[in-house]
Amino acid sequence: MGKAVVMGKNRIHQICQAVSLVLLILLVISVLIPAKGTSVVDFNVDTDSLRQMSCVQNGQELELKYLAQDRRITKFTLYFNVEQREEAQDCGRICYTWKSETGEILYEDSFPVSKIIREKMVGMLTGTELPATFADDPGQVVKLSLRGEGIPASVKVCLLGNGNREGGLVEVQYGVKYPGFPLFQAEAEAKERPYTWDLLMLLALALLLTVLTKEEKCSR
Amino acid sequence: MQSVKKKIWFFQKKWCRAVLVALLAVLLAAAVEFAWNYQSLRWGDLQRDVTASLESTQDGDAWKYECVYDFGDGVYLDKLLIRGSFAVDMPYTVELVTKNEFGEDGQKTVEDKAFAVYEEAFTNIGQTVRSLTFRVDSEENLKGKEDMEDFQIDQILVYRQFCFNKYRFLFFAVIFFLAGLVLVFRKLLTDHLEWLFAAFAAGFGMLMLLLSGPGSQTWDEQIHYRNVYQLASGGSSVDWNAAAWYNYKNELPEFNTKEELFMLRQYQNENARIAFHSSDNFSDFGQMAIRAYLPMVLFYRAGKLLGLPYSTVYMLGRMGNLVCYLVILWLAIRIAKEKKILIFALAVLPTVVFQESMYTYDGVVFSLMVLGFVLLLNEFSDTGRIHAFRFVAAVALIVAGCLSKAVYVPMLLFALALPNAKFQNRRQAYLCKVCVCVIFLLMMSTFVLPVLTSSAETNLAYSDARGGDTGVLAQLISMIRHPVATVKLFVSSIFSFDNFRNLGVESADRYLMTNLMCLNFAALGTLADKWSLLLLPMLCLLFFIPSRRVYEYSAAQRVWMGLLLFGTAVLIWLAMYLSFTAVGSAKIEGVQARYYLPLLVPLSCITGTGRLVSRMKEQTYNGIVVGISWILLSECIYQLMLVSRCL
Repeated sequence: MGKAVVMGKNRIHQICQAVSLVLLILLVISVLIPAKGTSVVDFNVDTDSLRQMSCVQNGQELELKYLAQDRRITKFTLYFNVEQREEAQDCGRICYTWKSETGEILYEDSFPVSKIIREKMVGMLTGTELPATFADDPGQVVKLSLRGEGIPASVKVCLLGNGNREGGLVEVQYGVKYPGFPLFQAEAEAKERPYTWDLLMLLALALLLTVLTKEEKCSR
Repeated sequence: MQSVKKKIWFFQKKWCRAVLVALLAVLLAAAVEFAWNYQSLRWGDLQRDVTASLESTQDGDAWKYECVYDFGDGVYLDKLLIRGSFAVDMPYTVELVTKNEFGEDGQKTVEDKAFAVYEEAFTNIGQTVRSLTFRVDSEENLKGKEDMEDFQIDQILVYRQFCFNKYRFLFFAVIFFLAGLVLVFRKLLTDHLEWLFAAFAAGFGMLMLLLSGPGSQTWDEQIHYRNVYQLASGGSSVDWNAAAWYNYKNELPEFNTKEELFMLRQYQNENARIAFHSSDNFSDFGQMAIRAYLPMVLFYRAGKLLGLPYSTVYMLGRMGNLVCYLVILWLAIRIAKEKKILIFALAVLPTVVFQESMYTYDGVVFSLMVLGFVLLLNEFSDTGRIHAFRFVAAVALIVAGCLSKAVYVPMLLFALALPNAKFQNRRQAYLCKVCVCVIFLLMMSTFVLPVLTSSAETNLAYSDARGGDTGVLAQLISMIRHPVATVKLFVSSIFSFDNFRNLGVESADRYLMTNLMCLNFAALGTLADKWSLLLLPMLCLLFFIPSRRVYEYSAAQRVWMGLLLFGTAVLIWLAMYLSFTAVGSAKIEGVQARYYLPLLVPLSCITGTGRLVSRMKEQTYNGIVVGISWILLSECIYQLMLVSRCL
């Protein structure tokens, strides 16, 4: 009977050792092979001194300059305000183009103004995401051109900005300039290790159990 | 003779006695219902349409509605009902000239609100009334003529009616049943406290669930609900329906009558059919703070899969929290080697049960911390060697509890006070304690690393999501620049005991610390200070005069626990000073008395010396504690939930 108990304890200790080893391997893997993720690298979203800035107009280009600082930007969010004097069926579209410093077009697309109107109805400051697929070709400075298409005269689409100088990584380069800096948020590729901490904690607990069971076995 | 024996046999069976107690409780609750409706039973139902007396006057842009009605010698009225369409949420006043039971006149003014989303508004009266004045004043509430034109009162009714109130009936049935249970099954008080806890937690918890309605009630519940809703939605994006969105934004109409509670349920069930907004979701349960929502998420998800109405699914999510608490603390009381009654009393403190019945992670934190600590204290009081699995389970539970609130993690270090004699040899003791220290440091890293990262990124704005003129890094710099002032501030704040925040409103914050900690239902209110006349003796009894001799901690262990408790208190105050208080402020904002609740079981290690032991029978001792707990819970629910909102 006594021998059976000792064998049982021994087995438990061996299992604890095996679990610790597996956790250690997983921990090493989680450190060496990070997951792909994104993180906000630049932002200017302070709404204390919120103000309306340059407007997007049909056929006229509004150009913004952003200091990308060689980071692989994957998502860029701008904040718009839409004012409607009367209900319109079709509120038109906003076409945007990402260009390199030399003027080379990196990416272009468009989105309907109604998207901004829907977001505004939710009653909070919601940004409009502009996918930035120039991630593979980063540069010091990138330019973003915004142009209206089919926006009715009764609809006014303007950028939202603030007076926060620290957030002034985005500037209006071309178009009607207003004092202040546009609200924006830029996300870049980042390496994440989401499970490392959990594995470390589990490993510490497993080691604790290993220590406690080992000594019990020895004493018997 | 045989039939008498059978009867005796019937009464001897436990389940038969339980059924009898339940039946008696139902009968007594029904009797209360009849007593409550005494006026309408005696004088019959009455309904008066007083709309004809309604007059509107206009003075420039200001409008007034006034209705004065004289009831002669006085009639007993239950409620006032207003029907119409309301352009905006409109406060109104009902002034009553009442007749008291001695026949003398009195005055009563009731402030209430008609909500734009409904076409009816109810006000409880419950008095014999001689005259009634109903008044709506537009000056502050209606913005110009347009709103006033959309504000229309079609009918004003006052009535007295026999009414079976299911909330009131259930409340009395539950409290009578629990009282009967204790009186009939006395052994529950000494031998099966965990089952008595289960009955208390389930009974009072379900009452709180039912009476709180489908909207946020406890501290930041809307934020916790948002997290649960997002996690229960799954996928990379969340589709918000209008009901969930209004709940998250805390934009729901209030209720103070059972009719309005019913209307709110209907309103939310209708809103749940309206798609409202899409947003990004959490990637998974990777974020540590959201793991505590798991029980709520499972129940919420189950409710959605079953296709239940929104208001029921909302309650089901809360029930997930309640069930989790019930199971964990049942286990804690069951396995506790000593101080079972103390754990019982702390587990059924009104604020604890309230928190456990709402959307919040605080309930899970409390439950896991208590169970972890019970396991740890068992290792101290056990005479034999340390039990490996129980010890690791204790550490793991405290860690799990701290995932959402890392400030309690110093409590883990009490494991270092385990005597070396508990281990097989010194080497095992050292290795074990090193492991505990590593785990402690890992937990601290979750608390400290975000601050260091934000410092590295010179993100001065890193702070509490609730905003304000705050910034962790800026606050740290300010503290380093003024070390003496910082120490003074912390010492004076921690030992002040009268500087806790409740809702950030002076009238809601100005209560005894014990009331804020134990008898507090957040937005629903706090019991008056006088109720500490019951609470404080009970706490003194539990903490200083145990019912029997308990394990006596050595002076060194007590000092160590005292230091850990102080360290945890410093972390609590520090956390709020860094993230919630304006930079450079000479006052620490945001610390609530309830943050100390998980520290009460550890505190019991340093109170009581073993020289003071009660000479009461254990059954009497426990009966007093259970009785006080029953009174406090019943009073909290009655006063803060039933009378003020569900009559």
